[in-house]
Amino acid sequence: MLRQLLQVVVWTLGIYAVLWVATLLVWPPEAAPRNVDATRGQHSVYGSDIREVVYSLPGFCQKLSSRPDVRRIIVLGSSSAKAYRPDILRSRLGADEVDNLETDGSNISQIRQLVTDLRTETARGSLKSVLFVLVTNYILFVSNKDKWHGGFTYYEAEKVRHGLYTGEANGITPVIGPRLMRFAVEALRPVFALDTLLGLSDGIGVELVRRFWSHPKVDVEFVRMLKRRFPQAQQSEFGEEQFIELDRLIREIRASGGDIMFVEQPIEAFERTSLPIHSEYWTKMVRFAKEHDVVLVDMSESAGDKEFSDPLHGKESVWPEWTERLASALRGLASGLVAEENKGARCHSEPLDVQKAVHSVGASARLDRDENTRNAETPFEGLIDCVSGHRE
Amino acid sequence: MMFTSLSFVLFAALVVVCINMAPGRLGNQLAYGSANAAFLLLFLGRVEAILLVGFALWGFLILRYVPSKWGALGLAVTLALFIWLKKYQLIPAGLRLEHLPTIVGLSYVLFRVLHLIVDKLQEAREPMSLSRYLNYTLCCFTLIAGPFQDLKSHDHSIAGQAGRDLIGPLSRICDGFLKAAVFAPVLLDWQVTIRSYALAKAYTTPPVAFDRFMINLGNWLNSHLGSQSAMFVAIEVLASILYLVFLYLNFSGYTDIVIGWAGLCGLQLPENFNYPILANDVLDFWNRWHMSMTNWFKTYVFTPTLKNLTMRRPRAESAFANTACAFFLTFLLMGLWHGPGWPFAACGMLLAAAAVLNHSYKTALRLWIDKQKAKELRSSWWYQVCAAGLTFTFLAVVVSPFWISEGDYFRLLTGSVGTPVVVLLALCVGVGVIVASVRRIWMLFVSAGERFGRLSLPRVALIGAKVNILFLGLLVNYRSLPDFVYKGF
Repeated sequence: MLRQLLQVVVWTLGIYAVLWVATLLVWPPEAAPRNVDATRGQHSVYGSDIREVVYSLPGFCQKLSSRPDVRRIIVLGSSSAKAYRPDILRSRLGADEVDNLETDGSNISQIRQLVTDLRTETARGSLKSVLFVLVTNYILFVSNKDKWHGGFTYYEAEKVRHGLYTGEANGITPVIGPRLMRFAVEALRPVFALDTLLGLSDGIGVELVRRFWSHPKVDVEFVRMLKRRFPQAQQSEFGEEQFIELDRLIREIRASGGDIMFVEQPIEAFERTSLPIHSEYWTKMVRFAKEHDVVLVDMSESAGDKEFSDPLHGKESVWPEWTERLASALRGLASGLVAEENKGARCHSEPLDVQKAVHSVGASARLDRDENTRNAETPFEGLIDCVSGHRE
Repeated sequence: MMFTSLSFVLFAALVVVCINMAPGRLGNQLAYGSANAAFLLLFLGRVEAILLVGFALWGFLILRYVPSKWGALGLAVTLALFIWLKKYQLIPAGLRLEHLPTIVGLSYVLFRVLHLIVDKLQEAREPMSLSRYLNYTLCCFTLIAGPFQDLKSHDHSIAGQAGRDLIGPLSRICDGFLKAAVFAPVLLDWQVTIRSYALAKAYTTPPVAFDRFMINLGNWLNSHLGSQSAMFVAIEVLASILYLVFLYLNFSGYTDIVIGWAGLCGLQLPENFNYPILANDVLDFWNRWHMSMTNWFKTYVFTPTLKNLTMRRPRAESAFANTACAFFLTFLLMGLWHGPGWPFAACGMLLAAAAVLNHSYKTALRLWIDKQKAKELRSSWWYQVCAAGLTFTFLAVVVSPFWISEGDYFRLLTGSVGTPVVVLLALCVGVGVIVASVRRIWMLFVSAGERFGRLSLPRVALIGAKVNILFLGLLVNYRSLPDFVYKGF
C-alpha cells in the first residue's frame, strides 16, 4: 500500500510540475522586472491588472523593505490611472523607480486597502522615499454599499480567490507568512493559468452571446446597474464615507514616512461641465486637499474628447501623450516654473492650468519654496520638496 | 466538519491507518468502534450525538428484550419516536421538540434499526452483541446518508481483510471530490444565476457569459410567454433541472467518497447510483437513483404491501388497484422520509401517480406492440428526447421541495397547472434534447475512456491527473463549498 501511495504522490507531483513548466512557456515571466506595472497583468499568467497587483505585492513589499532609499513614485487609482506609463514618468521625473498599482473598478476604500497592505507588509521606514500619486476622479467616491454591496472589494476578492488569503470583508489576512507567500504565488502558476484561461473563454462566451443572441434589455439593464453605482444615484450627500477613507489613506501614508499628491485625471468635457455631481465633487475635493495640505494637480481639462475611449478612460494610443503631459506638469510643479512649463504643453481646449489647482490648495506655501525647489537635484526631489513642504 | 474539508480528509486517513494496522478480529472491531465514536463526536454536536446514540440504543432494547409477539408494537413505538425526533408537522405544536437541533443521520439509522426489527419478526435471529449492533447502526462510513447496507452484507464485508488495493478506492475518492467539490458548486452557481438573473430585473455584478445568456433567456421568455406565472414556471423548471444535476453530483460525489474510504478500510459498500441520466421513465429513474433507499422501500414497504393486498384481493382485475395502492403507500412514505412538511408528502403522492401511470403505460405497450418493436421504439432518438424530457422535467419539478420554500413549491405546482400546454411541451422537449445530447456526449466520453484504458497507462497516472484537476479546480475559485444536501434528511 505504501508503495502505491508513493507512486500516486510521484505521479501527482510530476504532472503538476509539467503543468507548471507549461505555464512558464506560455507566459514567460519577465527576467527581474524593474517595477510593478498593473497593465502587465493583461499579458502575464495572472490575466488581469488587479491580479498582477495582488500577486506582485509580496515580492514588491520585500523589495521595498530591502531598498528603502530608492526614490520611488507609486501611481494609485482606478483603471483610468493605467494611462500613466511608469517608464516615461521615471525618465522625465528622475525617479529611481515608478510603479503603477492601479486597481480596476476602485473606490477610495479599495485603494486604501492596497496602501494598508503596503504599509503593514513592509519593514518600518520602507516607504520614506516614496511619493504616492493618487489619480482621482469622482467615480472613486462611490460608497462601499453601492460599490461592493457589503461584500469584498475587487482587491479582496482577488486575494481570497485562490486561498492564499482568508477572512471577511475588511479583514483579509494571509494564510502563510510573507516570506513564504512569494514562493506560494510562484507555485500556484497553474492555478492562475487556469483562471486566466477560464476568463478568456468567458470573454469569448460573452462575445458569442452578444453577437448571436443580443437582447437590447441586457445592455439597458447593465447600464442601469452601473448607474446605480454612481454617486448621483445615491440621493445622499456626496461620498462622505469615501472622503473619510481618503483621510485615513493620507494618514497611513504620512505615518509611514511617505508623501502623497493628487492628480485629477482628464475627463470628457460633457462629464466635466454638464454633470452637477462633478462640480459638487470638485468643490469638495479642492476643499479636502486644502484642509489636508495635499497638492492637487488638475489635469481634468488636459485632453480633448477624441482622446477618450469612454468618458473616463483614455485610448491606449494616447497613454504616452497623457503621461508626458503629467510629467510636464509635475516637472513644472517641481521647478516652480509652473506657468512657463505649461505654456508649451499640448492641450486640446486651453493651456494646462496646474497653477490654478495648486493655488486653490494654497499656492503661497508652494511659492515660498520656489527657490528651494529650483535648486533640487532632479524633478523628483523638487516634487518631494514641493509635496512635503506644502504641508509644513 | 464537512466531507469536503481538509479536516475530514485527515480524519479519514487516520481511520484508514488505524483500521489497517489493527491486529486481529478484535482489534479490527475495536478500531471500527473507535472510528464510529470519533466520527459521531466530530461530525455531530454533543446533543445530536447523544440523541442519535440514544435512538440506536432504543432499537437495541427492542431487539434484545422485546419478544417477537410484541415486535410490531416495538416497531410502531420506534417509528413514533423517529417522528417525534424529526419534528413532523403532524405532531401537535406543544409536543414538537422545536428547540432540538436536526439530528444528522437519524433517517439512515432508522433504516437499519427497522431492518433489524422487521427481520427479527420474520425470522428468528440469534441475539447480537451491543458492540456488533452499534458498529452496524452507527457505522461511520454510512452514518450520514448511506448507502444502506443490510446486516448480512455488512458483517460479510467487515469480516474481510483490510484494504489491500489503494488505487481503486483512491480513484473513487478522487471522483467523489471532483463531483462534490469542483463540479457541483458550479451547477449550484448556475442554478442561482438562473433564478436571480432571469427572474430578477436588477443585477449587481457585471454579467459573465452564462449570466448574459440567462438574462437573454429571461427577457425572451418574458416577452413571449405573456403571463408572469408561466414565466415563473419556465424559469423554475430550468433552475430545478440544474438543481437535480447538482444534487446528483453532490450525492453521488459523497457516495463515491464513502465507498472509496470504506474500500481503503477493506469494507465493501453497495452502489447507490447507476447513471440516472440514462433513465427514460420514472420507475427506471428510481432503479438508478439512490438505489439502496429504493431497495429498502421495495423490500420493506412495496413488496410486503403488494403481497398482502394480492392475498386479500387475488383476482386479476384487482391487480392494477393493488399495485397502485402499493405505489402510493411506498412513495408517500418515501416522500415523508425526506422531510416532515406537506411538500414532501405532496412530492411522494405526485411521484406515486407518475409511477402508476408509468406502470400502466409499460403494461399497455406490452399489449400493443411486440418486444422487438418496443425495443426499436425505445432506441429511437425522438422517443428518447420525449421520454427523457418528460421524465426529468417532471422529476425536477416534483422534487423541488428539496431546495425551494413551501410557498414557491405551491406557486410552482399551481402555476404548472395554469401554464399553457404548448409551453410545458416546449420545456419538456427542450429538456429532452439537452438530456439526450448529454447522453450522446457521455457515450463518446465512455468510448474515449475505454480507448484510453487500452493504452495501458498506469492507473496511478490517472489518479495523479485527477488529484491535479481537483487541486486546480478547488483553488481556481477557492470558496466555502456547499454542504452535503442529503445530510439534511
